Amino acid sequence: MKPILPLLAGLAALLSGFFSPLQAMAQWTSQPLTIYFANDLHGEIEPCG
Amino acid sequence: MTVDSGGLLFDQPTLLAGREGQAKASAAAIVKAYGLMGYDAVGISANDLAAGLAYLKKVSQQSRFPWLSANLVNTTDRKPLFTPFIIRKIGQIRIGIIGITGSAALAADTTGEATILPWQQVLPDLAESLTSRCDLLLLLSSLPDEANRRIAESLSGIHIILQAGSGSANMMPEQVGNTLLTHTGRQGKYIGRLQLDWKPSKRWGKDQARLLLDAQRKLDQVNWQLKRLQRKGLPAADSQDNPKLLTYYHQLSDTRDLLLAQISALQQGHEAPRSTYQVEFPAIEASIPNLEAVEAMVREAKAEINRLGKEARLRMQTTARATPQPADATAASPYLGWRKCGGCHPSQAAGWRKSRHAGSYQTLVKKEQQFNLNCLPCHVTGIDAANAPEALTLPDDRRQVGCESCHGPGRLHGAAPTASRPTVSLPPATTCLGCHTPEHDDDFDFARDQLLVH
Repeated sequence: MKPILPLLAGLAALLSGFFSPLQAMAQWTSQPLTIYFANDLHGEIEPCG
Repeated sequence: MTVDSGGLLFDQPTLLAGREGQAKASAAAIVKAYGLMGYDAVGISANDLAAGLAYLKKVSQQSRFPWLSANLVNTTDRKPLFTPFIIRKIGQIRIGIIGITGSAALAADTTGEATILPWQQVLPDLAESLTSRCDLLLLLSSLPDEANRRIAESLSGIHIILQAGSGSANMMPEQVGNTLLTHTGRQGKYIGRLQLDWKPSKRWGKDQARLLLDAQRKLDQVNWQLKRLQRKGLPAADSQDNPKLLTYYHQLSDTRDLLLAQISALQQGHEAPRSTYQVEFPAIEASIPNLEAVEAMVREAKAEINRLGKEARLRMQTTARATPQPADATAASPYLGWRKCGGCHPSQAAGWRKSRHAGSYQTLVKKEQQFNLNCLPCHVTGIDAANAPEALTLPDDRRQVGCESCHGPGRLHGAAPTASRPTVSLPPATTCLGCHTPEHDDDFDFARDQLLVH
């Protein structure tokens, strides 16, 4: 069992680093994003004439 | 990413009598269209429950996108009846999208199973738990504007609130705390396009260069003021004679020190970059090409809506034939029809027959929507939304926007022309605005257009 422990510890360290918010923060500096939003579109889908 | 804050299925919290079939056919088409357009999520508003909880559950199961509400819960166990939130990863960031349902009355056939909790009972904990899991938090809210402002003031972790049904005009984003509030105008005339440059600081603000310029401009102004006061001898001892001026001088000095520190931090890059945005509200104009699949689906839905109305008319006619009618069945109605009016007012009737009002029903016939109860009230005489099904069996001389649409029912006047005057001699603008809404006629001008009537 002993040899596995360092491996697990390494994996845990890797995972904790990988998922840490700080690490995640460091991975991006700027993210472009476009959000489209509508309101009451059924007015447009149901024109009568 | 494409989202909607709710109220897309129905425009009222309860369905009007006789209109359930057509309203549901229309709602089903909207859901399919949203699926085809690739919506990422929609919020649930109380109007979406107009056909009942079971109906919305069925719709949500058939939708290609999630329906979100964190506060629409089971009355007994207080657990959410729909997905409270989702997390989408776009590019490098994780976006949390929460739905919150406005507290309008629920439809009668939710049978007490559903309860809308106040946002205060669910949002603070949910927003806090999502803050560590998401880079950007978006709220789809059908709460009123004032409630959304309170959310923005108290929950700094929510970065954007998209409102539903909050006003007829587009709302330029307004920053409250660290939250942007915005919505598009009602009635589907515009789409909102919010382009973000989202930074890890998760704070809204101007970009670095702009902040630096602003700070330097303020510093110039403060320095100029300070020099002016120094020329007057401040802060020398003899200026103690004017304590107010001395206080002002010290305030200016403090401001200068703060600005110098801010400029230094900005120049050295110590200030975390702020997130910025641009917004546009492109009008959904006829010139924009339709997505072919959506267009075909809308065409099918409208044909189905008309077919349902035609079936309803057949049922009504069958029932009427089976029911003994009074000798003069039309006398039961307070409306006479335009031909009777024209008998005594021939010149007005002749003028009116050349107007578009006289052909209003034919407009629907040409579009094969003459049995659509959503359309009919504005294309015939003496019908409103509440009694729309009656429009299906109107006599021929009320299948126009006739004299009595503007002047009121004329039966009493017809029976005793001098003793009983028409209900309305000169109709006010409000009579017209009931149908000439911005949704249907955004170019309506009462002063100009009243001259076209006859």
